Amino acid sequence: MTTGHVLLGLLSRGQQHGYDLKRQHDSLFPAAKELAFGQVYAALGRLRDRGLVEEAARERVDGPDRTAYRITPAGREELATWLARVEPLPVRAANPVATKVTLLLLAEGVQRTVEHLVRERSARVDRMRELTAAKHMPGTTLQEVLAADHALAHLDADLRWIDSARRRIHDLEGEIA
Amino acid sequence: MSATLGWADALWLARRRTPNDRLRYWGSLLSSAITAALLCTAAGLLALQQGSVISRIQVVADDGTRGGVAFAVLLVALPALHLTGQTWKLGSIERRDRMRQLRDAGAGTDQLRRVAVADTVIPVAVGATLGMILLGLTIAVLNMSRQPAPGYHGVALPAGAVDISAAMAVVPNVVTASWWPPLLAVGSVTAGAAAAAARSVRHLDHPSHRRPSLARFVAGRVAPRTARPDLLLALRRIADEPRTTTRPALLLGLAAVVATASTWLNRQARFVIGEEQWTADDYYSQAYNLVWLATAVGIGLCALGLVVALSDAVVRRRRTDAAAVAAGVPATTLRRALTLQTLLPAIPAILLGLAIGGATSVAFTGRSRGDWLGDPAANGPLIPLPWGLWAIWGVALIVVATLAALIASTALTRTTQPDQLRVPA
Amino acid sequence: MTEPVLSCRGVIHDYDETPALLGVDLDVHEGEVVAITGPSGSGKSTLLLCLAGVIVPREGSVLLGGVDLRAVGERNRAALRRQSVGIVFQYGTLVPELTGEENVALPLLLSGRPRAEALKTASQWLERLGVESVARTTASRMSGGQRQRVALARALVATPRVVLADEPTGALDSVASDLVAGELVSAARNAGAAVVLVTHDARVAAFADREVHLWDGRVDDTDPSIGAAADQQVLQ
Repeated sequence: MTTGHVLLGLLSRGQQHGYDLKRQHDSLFPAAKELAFGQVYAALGRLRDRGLVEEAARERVDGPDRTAYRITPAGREELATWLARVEPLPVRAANPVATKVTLLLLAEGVQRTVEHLVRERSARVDRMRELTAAKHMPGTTLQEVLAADHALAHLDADLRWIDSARRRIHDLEGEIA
Repeated sequence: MSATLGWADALWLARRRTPNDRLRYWGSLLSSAITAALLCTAAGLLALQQGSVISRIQVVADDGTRGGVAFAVLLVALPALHLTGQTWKLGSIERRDRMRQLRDAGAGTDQLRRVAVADTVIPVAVGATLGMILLGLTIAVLNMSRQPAPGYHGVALPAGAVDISAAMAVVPNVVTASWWPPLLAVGSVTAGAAAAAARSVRHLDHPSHRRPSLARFVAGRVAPRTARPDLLLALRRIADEPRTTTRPALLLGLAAVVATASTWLNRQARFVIGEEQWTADDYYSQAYNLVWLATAVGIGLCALGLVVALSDAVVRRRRTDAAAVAAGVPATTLRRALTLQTLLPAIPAILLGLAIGGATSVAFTGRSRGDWLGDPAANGPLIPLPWGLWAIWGVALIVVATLAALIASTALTRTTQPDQLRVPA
Repeated sequence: MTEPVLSCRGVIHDYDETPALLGVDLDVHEGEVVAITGPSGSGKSTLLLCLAGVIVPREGSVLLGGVDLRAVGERNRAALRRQSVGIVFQYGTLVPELTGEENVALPLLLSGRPRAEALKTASQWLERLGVESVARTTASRMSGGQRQRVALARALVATPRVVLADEPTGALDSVASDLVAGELVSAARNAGAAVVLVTHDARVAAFADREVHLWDGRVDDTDPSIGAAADQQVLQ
């Protein structure tokens, strides 16, 4: 997924100015990092070079460039192709907690490791609580709820891993003892 | 799974050693023994040749009344059949689950039927055969120790012989003359059980049809007007499974009919025949004692069937009852609900039975006139109806139903323990 | 600080001869929502039943509204449950033969309220939880989500001080889970009742104000500053 693809999608409903594209992106995708104007214009430039967007109108009011951009038929095709593809699954998933656990076992032993796992767990539980409360505030948009659900699901997965890691370490300790 | 399931394999699939199964096997065995014995006796009586019978029981020996005795025995077989049906239904939920698992593993309907039949037929056939053997042994043993009735068919009573005419000592001393009654008894009981088992396989998915029933209709109408929790529970449970307590209620009603009719017939006949001849020839008292013995046996079987049906219902409802007690419903409320579920159909049935039995028997014979303690007189007052005795029968029947409910409710202590809350599905 | 609505100290109990709880302390304050979490076999349900007074623990004390449940007989414990506690189980909370209305009215009928009044209160609660459509439906014919909401109504109808819920969303899919958990918490809060919610689902636990995590029969000490104490807890 590139910024270009996202912009193509935003332009599919009609032409827009670069400034509006940035605002729309940030409101639709609250979980993503905010787009800088430089990024937007650079991406639009690349899309125009490939013939996927074209300039619709150029106004030169006193002030900055208010160019409106429009998606081309080639752009629509590229968008459709990209939307139909399944997102590639990550080959390796980074798990910083697992790294720490391994190192803790090596460096400080089972007690400290389990203690650390309990703290990791507690931090995630607190975060889940915040997300759940935020989800149910009046005025939350659908996109915010979806983003929160996604974060909750991942935190839940982490918790399951933490519980099973703890169990395995306990059993390991039992074998050693 | 192979296309044709051998009987040996079917048997192996059917066998499980859970406590419910053991209870079911033993219950089926005993109750089919009783049912088969009764059927064999009735058939055996009907098979006897005219004029060839010597029996201590004169109603049996008399060709004219033998058919009536057979009919009476068949009536007693009704509660025995009910009991057999109830014991067979024990643990039916687990059995249905097991069948469903087999079906999911690939078994076809025919194979499932084989499994169900194999499961049922063994204890029933064994029980019925056992019943035949025991019946034959009992008759043979008793025949060896009894003398024929005095003064009957010209046989004189030996000196020193004791005349016992109490109801319990009156037993048949007719050995079954023909060969087919025992086979008929064992065969029909086994075939009936097999047919029921085969049919049960059809209803694996959907629970049994909610057939219309008077009890369900009445209970459904009254429940929305009740405020008492125990009454409400009882009425809704009657509406949910009416036959659990209406079938035993009908059987108790039948017992009431028989009891009241025979009480009246006894009084009327005794008055007409006269006290002297009544006591001289023990034909009459023997006949009536037999009727009451049969009625008592029938009531006993009815009570057993009721206990089995109610206990099964209590065990089936264990998780709900445990949750209710955990939520604060007193156990006494549940116990009272069970008793009400039994008595609400039973009392009307018994009262109706008393009324029908009394009315029809009095209408049938008419009431004699005369001095009750003296002789008949054409223009004397009508002899009194045996209200007292009828009332005693009614009370006895209601007490029996209540006792059965109380016995079944002792299971509630076990089924409402907190560990029942953990039982899945 | 006001006295806790429900509390336990040093609760030790076995289940089937294996130790289930090895010394648990817990305080639940008025209006609080506490989630009890932990893997299966950690003793969560046993703890809940001890808090409800359904089980008397082998050792330790449970105080409901200041009353020591050990000192009180079974009949009085049942009466206390009726008055101050609402319970929701995973399965079987409702009587399947009774209608939704009748199930919810049952605690009131048991306290001797007249039928009309009990049913009216019951239907108000059913409406509050959005299941007034099943007021006249027999419980055995309701869907899982409907059943749990009716069970919740029944738990709240006698205005309890605390609602105890044992895996209330255990039998539901994730969408229905979310709904029931949210409704449980907000309905109880509106009614001024505290909630003790036993669940293995972290997402349901996230609806609570705080979490008590059981591991092998004891409470996890999650205060990171108490290193030494945590060692002790975790080692035993």
